[in-house]
Amino acid sequence: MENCNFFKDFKTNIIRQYEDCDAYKLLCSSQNYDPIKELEVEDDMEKVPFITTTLFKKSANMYTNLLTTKPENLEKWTVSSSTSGDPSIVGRTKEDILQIKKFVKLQQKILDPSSKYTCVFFPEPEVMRKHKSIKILDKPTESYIGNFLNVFSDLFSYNGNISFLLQPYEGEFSISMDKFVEFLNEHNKKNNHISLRGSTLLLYNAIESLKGKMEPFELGDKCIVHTGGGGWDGKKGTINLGIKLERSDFVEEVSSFLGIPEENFVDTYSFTENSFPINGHYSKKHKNYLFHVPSWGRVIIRDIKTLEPLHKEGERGLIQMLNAYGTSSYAGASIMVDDMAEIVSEERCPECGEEVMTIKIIGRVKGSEAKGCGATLNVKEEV
Amino acid sequence: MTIDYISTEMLLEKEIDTYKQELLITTEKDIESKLQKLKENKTKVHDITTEKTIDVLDKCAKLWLNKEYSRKHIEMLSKITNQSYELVSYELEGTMKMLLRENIEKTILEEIGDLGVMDHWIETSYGKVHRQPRGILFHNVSGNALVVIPVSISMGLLSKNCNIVKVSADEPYFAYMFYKSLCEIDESIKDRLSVVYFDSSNENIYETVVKQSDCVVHWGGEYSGKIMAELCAKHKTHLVMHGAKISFEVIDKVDDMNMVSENVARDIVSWEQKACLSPRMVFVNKNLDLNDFAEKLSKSLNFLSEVFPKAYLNAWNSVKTIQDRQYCLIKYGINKGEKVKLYSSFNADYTVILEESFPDKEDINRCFNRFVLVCPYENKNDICEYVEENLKDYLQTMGYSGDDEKFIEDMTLIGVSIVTKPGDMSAHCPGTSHDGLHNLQEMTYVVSSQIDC
Repeated sequence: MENCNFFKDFKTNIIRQYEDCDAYKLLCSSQNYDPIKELEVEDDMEKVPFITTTLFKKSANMYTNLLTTKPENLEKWTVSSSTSGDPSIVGRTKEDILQIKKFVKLQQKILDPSSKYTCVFFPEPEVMRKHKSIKILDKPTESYIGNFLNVFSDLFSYNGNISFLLQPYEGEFSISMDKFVEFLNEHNKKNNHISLRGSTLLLYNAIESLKGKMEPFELGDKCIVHTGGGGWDGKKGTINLGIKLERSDFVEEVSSFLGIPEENFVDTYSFTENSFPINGHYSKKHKNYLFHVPSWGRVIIRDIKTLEPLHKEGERGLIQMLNAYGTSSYAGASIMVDDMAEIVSEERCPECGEEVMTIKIIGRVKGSEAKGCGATLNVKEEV
Repeated sequence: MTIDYISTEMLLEKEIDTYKQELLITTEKDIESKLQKLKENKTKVHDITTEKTIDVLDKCAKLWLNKEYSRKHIEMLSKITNQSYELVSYELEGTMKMLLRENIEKTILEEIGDLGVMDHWIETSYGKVHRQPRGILFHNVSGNALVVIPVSISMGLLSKNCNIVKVSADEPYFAYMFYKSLCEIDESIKDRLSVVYFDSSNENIYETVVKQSDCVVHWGGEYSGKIMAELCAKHKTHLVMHGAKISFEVIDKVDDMNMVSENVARDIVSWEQKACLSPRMVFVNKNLDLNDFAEKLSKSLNFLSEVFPKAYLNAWNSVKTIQDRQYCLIKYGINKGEKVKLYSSFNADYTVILEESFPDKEDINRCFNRFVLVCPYENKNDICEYVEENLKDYLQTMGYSGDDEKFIEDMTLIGVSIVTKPGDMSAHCPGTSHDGLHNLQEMTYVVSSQIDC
């Protein structure tokens, strides 16, 4: 995979998607685009039409039209955390799910899977995956985060103990603070090789609730904090912080209370409609995570006005992700998400020197502006 | 140049908050005190001549029509409404021209028949007639295009009422600046006009205002309109309901397709389709060349995007348009199996979707920011049926290219209140009713004296 020919494989993937998905073909033809004729060199990838993530929303009722295979070939439907109350639903085959695992393994170095003890701010993978699971066209739905947890737990438990802090409680989850405090006390001032992983908001809330009640800890420089699943705008699933959580505030506060160096903080970014996750290490200088785009994926940052690709350092725009792998069952080869990012470098990470495109995730596009006197009709929809 | 959209949005929010704080009413006691001051001025205000108010409005209009004066306001409004400077400037010019002497005089004549009837008794066949103000007017401006603010305030002042205007949380600026400009011309405007803001969730303040007002003029949303209707019914307060509206165009016969498509495009661009008079969809006769119309319309929109560019002050506007464009294309083209054609810019500048059917109700809610659905029809009765079934409660303006008087009769019977030519939808003639009501009539009582008969 590290030595993959991304362009060749992406071209194969997008042409297959164009031929197998009428909805994508219609989008292409509305832009007079035919990938068979127009995708000749690498730079042409910038012209490939994208699908917006909202088309995968349950309320849009077109996720079956975005499949490139028959529903009976699917393993499951992966479902987003539904912060808006309207989850995305993506049909995936067994191979597509295995591909996610391969991607995570390829980047495991930054995630430090060899830690001896791991404390996770999520439920056990099996519980998470089955949470509120239903059947659509005879295939089960599963939480997208649950899929990742499955992969991570396979990687991390191999080397030590793993403790999941969330337990099912009245249809949702409750966090075991006793277990967390026990974990902190057990490893305080011992400089053990440990890791804290999981939901940014839950970890932040847990630390905030402990502050003032007990002395800060010293977990040391062998401890890694690996977050994922977003939530930086203060909301994730049913959790609502009420305010936007600045990444630098999160890192500085957790780092100082737990006694972990800021450079040991890592965040993973992905979304249900995408295939390859990207990981970012925290930079004190940038006061943000610097995300590396691996060789098996492409990220295009588009200007919000022109939608043309941006290339200069510091430019901000909408995120489009190109997938060559792991989207064999759905139209996920070229996806535009309503998140914004900033280009740090198209060549190499300025902090660690790795020769990859490096970006900062800015956050979700906010949806409001002054209304007019034109009516919005009251339409009842089942979400 | 790199624009930091997030910082720009935060700065704007902060600035809007400053204006809200200046206008903020937090307790019932505060609003009672404002209302009491206005009540004390009722007699004094009644004695102000119509000519005096016309003069103030005329001077105010000329002030705003002077770019030296209005430039900074246009810049701010451009940011708040996410419309370009050029477009806001164009809209504001049209709005302020309505306040010029000749247009105000025309409005008074058309609405209540006589320029002097609010000042003195006018001879009639049965004796004398006069118009008296209702007293205290509460203008509830919830999330409106700025055009309604000068209309509501000017009619409130002309009708010799004392006015309290509640601005919306997302656009508190224009009403406040308009009030300040009136005060610059005539300090005593404060005796009969007050602009306030309070949190809509504070039902006690709303109830206090409605209870102590003689008339409520509501502009805007359905939800807040319902609350106003309930409060007015409870306290027997006269309600002038200008709810949120929907407008559309019908292209039945065409002499010059280029001209019609240019005019329809102009209607679409004005107010970024967010005003009640903006067309959200265009019904086109199937016997016309539909593709030619859709293509010419998109070319006209493309041209106008140079003259009146979109503002793109936040990313949401762009993202939402692209999402809606893709959604409609796949919904109608794949889910419903229709032959749909898209005529759009690559970016979110403009979107024309030529459908085979009439749109689902929910998709009319996507038609903002230069996003229009072109819907072919075979029989005009089909439009009547669709409009009656889906839009009856919201109807306002119909841009019409054709000569079928019966169709106009049918549409106005269903509820369309203004019929214009394409291109004129945002330029209602002075004195025409906004939505079936005449404000000066609603804001005054007609009284008669028959003692000399």
